Amino acid sequence: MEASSVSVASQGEAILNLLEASLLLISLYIIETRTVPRAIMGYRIQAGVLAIISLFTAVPVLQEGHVILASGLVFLPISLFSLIKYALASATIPEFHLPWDKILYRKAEKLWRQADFRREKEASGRTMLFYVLLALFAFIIVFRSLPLSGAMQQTQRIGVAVAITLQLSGLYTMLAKKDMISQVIGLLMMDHGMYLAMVRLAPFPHPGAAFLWALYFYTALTLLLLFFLVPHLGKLTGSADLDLIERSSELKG
Amino acid sequence: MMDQMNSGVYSLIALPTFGVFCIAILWVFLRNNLSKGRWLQVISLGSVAISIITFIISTLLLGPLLNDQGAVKTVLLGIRLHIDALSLYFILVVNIIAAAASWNAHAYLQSPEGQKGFGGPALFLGLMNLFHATMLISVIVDNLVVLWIAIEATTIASALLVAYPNHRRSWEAAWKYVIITSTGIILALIGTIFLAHAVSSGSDTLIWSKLIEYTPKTQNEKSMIFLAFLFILVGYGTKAGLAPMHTWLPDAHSEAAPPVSALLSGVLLKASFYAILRYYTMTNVMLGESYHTLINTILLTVGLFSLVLAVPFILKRNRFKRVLAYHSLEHMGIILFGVGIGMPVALFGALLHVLNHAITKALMFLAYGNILRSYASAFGDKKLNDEDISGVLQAMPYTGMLLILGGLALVGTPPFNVFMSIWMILWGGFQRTLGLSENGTAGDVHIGFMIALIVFILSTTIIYFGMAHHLNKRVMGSASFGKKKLPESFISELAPLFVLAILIIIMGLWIYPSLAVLLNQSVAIVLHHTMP
Repeated sequence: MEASSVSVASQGEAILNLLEASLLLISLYIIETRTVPRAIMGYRIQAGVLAIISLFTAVPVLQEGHVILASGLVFLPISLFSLIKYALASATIPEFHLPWDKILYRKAEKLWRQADFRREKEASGRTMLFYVLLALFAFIIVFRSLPLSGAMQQTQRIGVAVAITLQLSGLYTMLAKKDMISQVIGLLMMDHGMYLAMVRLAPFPHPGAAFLWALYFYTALTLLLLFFLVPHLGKLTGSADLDLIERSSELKG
Repeated sequence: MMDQMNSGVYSLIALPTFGVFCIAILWVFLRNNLSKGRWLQVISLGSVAISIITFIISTLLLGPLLNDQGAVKTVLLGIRLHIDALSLYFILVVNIIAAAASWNAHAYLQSPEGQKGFGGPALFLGLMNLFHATMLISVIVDNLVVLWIAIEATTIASALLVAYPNHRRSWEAAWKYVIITSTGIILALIGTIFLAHAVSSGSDTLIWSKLIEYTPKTQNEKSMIFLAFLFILVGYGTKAGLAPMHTWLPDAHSEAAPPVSALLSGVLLKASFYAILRYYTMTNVMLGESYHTLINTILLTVGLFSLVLAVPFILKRNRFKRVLAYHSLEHMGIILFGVGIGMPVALFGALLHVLNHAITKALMFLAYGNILRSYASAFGDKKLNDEDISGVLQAMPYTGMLLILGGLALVGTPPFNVFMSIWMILWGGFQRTLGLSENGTAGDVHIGFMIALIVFILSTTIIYFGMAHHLNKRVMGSASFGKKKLPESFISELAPLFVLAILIIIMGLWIYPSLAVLLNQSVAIVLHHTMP
């Protein structure tokens, strides 16, 4: 009986690691892709995979009777999965308020497709190489200098390494892509890394719950501010391209 | 007595929060019944009253806390609060600058720029109160996640306040501010998760006053706690404006309205520094002597790097508010350098510098804000550029003198306050270089510290001349609109500046005894986690 439960647990960990590996591939896709709608799609798939990963933490929490906490764990990635494209559309076109307003949503999609990607001119091989280096760096940090405790430390390490890779690739996206929507996606990708680190490392229910609510607060606040700033800045500068904005900016020196 | 102290602590947070609600309620019910000028007067006076009362309450807490209690521990809405000497010191810093800034805000909101800000004066003052409240919460909470939330919450109010002037530059600065600080702050949360994982011991895991008593059992735990500290340093360091994560700082500080710049530079950076200081204390106590030198070296290096990086930007031709913003980078570097020296006298100096820099920088931003407004009105329809500001001493003699005084103080001219704190930091540096222990016995000369001190002295000296050049250009000569004198309103514009200037002069010569006791206790808390 005990041997079978250990085997189930290790199978669960193996599935988790597979899902985490898929997060790496998706983040590579987000970095590599050359249009904003595809980057948004990649981001949504990543949020969906995170929702499945969060189930592995939510189920034991639910079994302990913490219904709100368990729901909260799954709800954050699901809400990002379902709402992000509409939220980004409303940031792009201030008049867009309702998800079923298809005409304005298509207008937003059209604008995203036109977004000028600086990296388009770069060789994709270079980006891939850079990404592999980022991932290697994260894995080396975690496996060589980050000691973890507990019974399943090897698998936990993989999760944390993926989380750090997501953070670094989010940062890279923000540095490399110069349109505002991609920068928001980069920031949200870092948020995904943070979320993964939380479900893999933070002890639940205490103090994990505090981290979860902090992350809700962070996500809501950041999105709120960005969706307030993006349309204003776009209106004043006439562009969503941060490179163009920077070139004509008076904020220098 | 304890009940009275608890009430005092609650009212510290409640008052600015109450201010936000009051402004919102007044906006709904009173706005249409009053003239524009009267409406502005009502909400401005309300905000000034709130910040002054909050300041008085914090000074009233000073006596009992220093003499009898050591620390006030209480719970508000399920959140544990912990106020010791270090928290109270930061509360005082926040309240002094908030009072001066909200006083000056009235003059700013009367100007055409203040009137045309997005959302109007009511939103501006509501956000100022919210900003004040979140900074106070940051320095009194006992829970590390709530501390993170409070620091993150400062972003809501401050980002919108940066954008308030409602021109392209201010929106760009707000965007950069949100993007960079949000990126940084997430690293602080991941550091907190690492710490919680390393010390996981139930519900007390996140309470720093309990966590400090935790002794790591294995080397693995120690490595994890150290790694957590590094993430925290980068995360909160971003918000504290430390190099190389400082890139939001010159834009946000220079584009915000003057009272907001004073708050950003004077206290927002310090609230984030407070978070670093708490983690520094915890990490040192938990990890013991073996990591102490390494952590101090990291802080010293980051501090020195921030200071050195500020030099070329202060020397080059730049808009004056931007120059002042780079001075914030310099002074945060000086403060971190003082902590990194690891000697009590240097830490005393670094903590004193927190207040000295806040007061001096607030004076500079507010004075220059007054100048910009008056010159803009003298220029009329013609667009005012920063290069047009000259001959201030002739056109606005009182404000000009205050600007000179603030500028000289800011770069450490004796006998002003900043000189006093920099001298203490240097004294600690000399002690460390000569290997002097706390009881005065000499050891080996430390070449690394000597080089660091030389770089420190050289950088501050070069900065001195840079500031002198910028001041000379603005203050001397004659104004481009002729010899006409511009009006200077004593009550709304000059009064808060004079109060700050008096503090700058007095604190260069004398440290108020209760403040010295508060600082000594704070040093003991940071270095030994004990009361003297």
